[in-house]
Amino acid sequence: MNKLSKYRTIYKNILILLLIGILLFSLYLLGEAVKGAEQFNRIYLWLFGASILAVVILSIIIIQRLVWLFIKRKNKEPGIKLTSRMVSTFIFLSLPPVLIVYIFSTQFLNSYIDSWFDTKTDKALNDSLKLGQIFLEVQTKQALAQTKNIAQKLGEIDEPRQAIYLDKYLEESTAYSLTLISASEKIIYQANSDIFDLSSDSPPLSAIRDARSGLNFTRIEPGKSGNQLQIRTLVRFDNELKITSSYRFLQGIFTINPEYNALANSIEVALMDYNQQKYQREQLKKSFSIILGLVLLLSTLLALIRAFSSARNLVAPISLLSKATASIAIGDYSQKVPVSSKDEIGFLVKSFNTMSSQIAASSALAHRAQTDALSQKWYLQNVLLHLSSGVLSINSEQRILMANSAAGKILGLQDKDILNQNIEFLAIKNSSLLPLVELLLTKLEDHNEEWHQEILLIDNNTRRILVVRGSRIPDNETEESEGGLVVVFDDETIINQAQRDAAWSEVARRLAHEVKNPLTPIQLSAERLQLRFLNKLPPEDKDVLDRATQTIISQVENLKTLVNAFSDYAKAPELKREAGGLNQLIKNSVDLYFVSNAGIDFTLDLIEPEPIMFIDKVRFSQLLTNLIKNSQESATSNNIKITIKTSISKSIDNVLILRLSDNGPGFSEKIMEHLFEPYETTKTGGSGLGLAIVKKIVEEHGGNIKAYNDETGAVIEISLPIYKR
Amino acid sequence: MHKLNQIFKHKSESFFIGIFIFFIIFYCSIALAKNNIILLNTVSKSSKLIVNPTINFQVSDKIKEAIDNGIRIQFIAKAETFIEKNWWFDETLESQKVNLEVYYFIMSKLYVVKNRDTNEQLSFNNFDDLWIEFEKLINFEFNQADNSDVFVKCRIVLDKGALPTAMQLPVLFDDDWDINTEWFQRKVN
Repeated sequence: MNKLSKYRTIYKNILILLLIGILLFSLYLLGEAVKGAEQFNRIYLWLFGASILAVVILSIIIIQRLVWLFIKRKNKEPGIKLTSRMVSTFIFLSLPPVLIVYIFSTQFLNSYIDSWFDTKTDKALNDSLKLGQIFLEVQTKQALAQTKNIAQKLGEIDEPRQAIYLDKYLEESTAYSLTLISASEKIIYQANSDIFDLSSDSPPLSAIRDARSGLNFTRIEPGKSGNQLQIRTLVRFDNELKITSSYRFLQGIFTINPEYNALANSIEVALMDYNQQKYQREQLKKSFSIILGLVLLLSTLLALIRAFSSARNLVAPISLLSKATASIAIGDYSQKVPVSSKDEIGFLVKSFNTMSSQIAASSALAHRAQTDALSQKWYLQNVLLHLSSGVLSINSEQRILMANSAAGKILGLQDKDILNQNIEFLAIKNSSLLPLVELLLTKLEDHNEEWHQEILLIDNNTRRILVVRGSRIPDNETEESEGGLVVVFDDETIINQAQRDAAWSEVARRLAHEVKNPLTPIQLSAERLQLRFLNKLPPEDKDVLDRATQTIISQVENLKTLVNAFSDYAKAPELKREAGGLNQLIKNSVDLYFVSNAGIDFTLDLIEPEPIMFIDKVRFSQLLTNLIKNSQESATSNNIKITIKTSISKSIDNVLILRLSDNGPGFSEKIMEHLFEPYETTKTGGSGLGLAIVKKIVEEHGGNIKAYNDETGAVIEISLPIYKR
Repeated sequence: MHKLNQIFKHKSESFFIGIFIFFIIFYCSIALAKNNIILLNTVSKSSKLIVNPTINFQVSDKIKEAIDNGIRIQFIAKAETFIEKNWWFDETLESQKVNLEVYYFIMSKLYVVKNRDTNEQLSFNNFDDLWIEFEKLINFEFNQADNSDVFVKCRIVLDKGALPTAMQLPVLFDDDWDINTEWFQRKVN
């Protein structure tokens, strides 16, 4: 927890405590006000309103918390179930005692308030009131008697002098003041015991009314100060000296002895207080119940808020832990949960942080190891990719776990297609691979650690030699299954061919060298024999000699041709390559044959515009001548059809395909294997070097040649690279 | 009601809202003050303006019961002289208050009304007589203003804050205790 949030929490707590303090204080004042404390009486309603406001605010806060809880529950946030469980537990734990306290306190309060009032007190107070009233009645009667007595005396005095005698009569009586009032209710004169009291005290209207009608008015009333009781009397008196009816009023104010006054006041105050309390009994009960209810409600609400806060504080680290765990689950180990307490939760958080750090370290190590393994794998794949040998890894369940691209190339399949396939899938996709599949199945059954074998694959007219080397994988080194094989194989066909070509070249070179030298002397000797002895011999011998020498000469010529051919095969002249088209060369060769060998039906299908090739034109003319000658010589009928077609390869970029086909019998099965090797011919008198030389020329130009039969006859297909400027 | 129909699409809704509004208006009409000042007597005496209201005052049995049980009830008579302002608050020239107290004197069974400011008091044997002469203790003395557009207004309110605390809350919502008068105003000249 950082400092700022720490201060914020402290500030928040202080604020809440302050609020609670103010609230409790206002509730205390409320209670005091109900008890009758005058200083709080005027602010009672404000205090009550403030308490209600506090209840409303707290209720809003709690509603807001409940809504928050509901939303969080709906969103299934971590830790929210625990929070709601804690809050509900707290509510269920706190409500019953609060209700019990409320019910019992209310009952106690009601019975306490009821205990204030009983019949004995009631009677005693009423009796004392009655006693007081009787005493005051006596006093009143005495006052009235005095007033009447004075009024009588005044009636015997003529009116102008009545005021003069009033002071005298006041001194003789116990009255505080005497007031002479005219019939028209005007104060004529007022005599006061206190000479400084100049105020006039008019009688009430009802008193005048009573007195005018002849009734004597008398009553006890509170004095001006409130505490002092006084007796007011008012009597009407007639002036006996006057003939005409004339009357006046005399008002007397009599004070009561202070001692009696205090007692009477005490009775008055006590009785009024008692009556007041009695009158307010139900209202007091209600008020105390409301205040008690408010106190308990506020306490419960505050406690609820505290419960929310505590639950949140308690659950917060758990929630953070949950979030951090989720982050770790998705591989983010950087999450650290802040340690906010020193209790068990804090210990748990610390342990979690340690654990996540360790996981992060282990993960980093694992990641590094994985990266190393991956780079090793990539390296191995790179090596395998650039390996010219095919490599297969096969498990003991005959499934291909790994194959490099060279393997796919050699086997004539896509390396991705064969992955995770059973090895029999190879034979299904390419039947020529059956010997390889059989070999692998056999070796899987064997327990030879290492083995080496050469197999022949025959696909249509192509024969290939594969040299296969295998090694058994130890049982514990494979992940998916036990044991298996690693097989490395190479297509040795080309090497084999090259070796054979080299051998044939050597043979041809030696043959040409050894045979060519004696041929000229043999020919010359045969010609000398013919020249010297032909005309000397008898005719029967002459004919024999002539035929013999002619045979020798012709055979030597043949031998010379053969030797020259061998010589050409063995030691080809250096290529003189130049850029140019192939179409004209083809046309020239065809024209040459067309002129010298009428009857051959040539069909040309040459690509236009023709691609530029980089070829030795002389050698290529020789190639074409050899091919046409080969087709012509192999023909069995007189209707010879030769088709020459050029096209751009669709499978390989920048390669021209030259296809020459005829309507002959095609290549025999027997010769197909060694078709391009010297001395392989089906023709009588053929040297067997034609196709061998063709192949050599093609290879010198960086191309490939293949031969096969189609439905019409033999086909020779040459692939040549197109010249790139 | 037509507009209400537009606002509240359903007729039943507008019907109930109409009933609600009717009751509010009805309540306001019956809740109007029962007591009122029917006249403001003004007398100019030298440079002073003496104002004395004539009040039609009726109190409920509940109030009598409270007074009989020793509850002292205080009134505040307020009076102000002011000049009216158009579209703005009136300008108060002078404001005065008279604090009155009514209580029952059980020893001699008298109802007493007392001016708390001057201690002047009137006592009555009859409760109704008190309210007839109640106004005698209310006299306001203002300075004479030069302006001829001076108004004087007066009202009497029950000082509920002076009631015993336990009574204050129930009284707040009890119509029987709502004995305040409305402002009564008249032009001085």
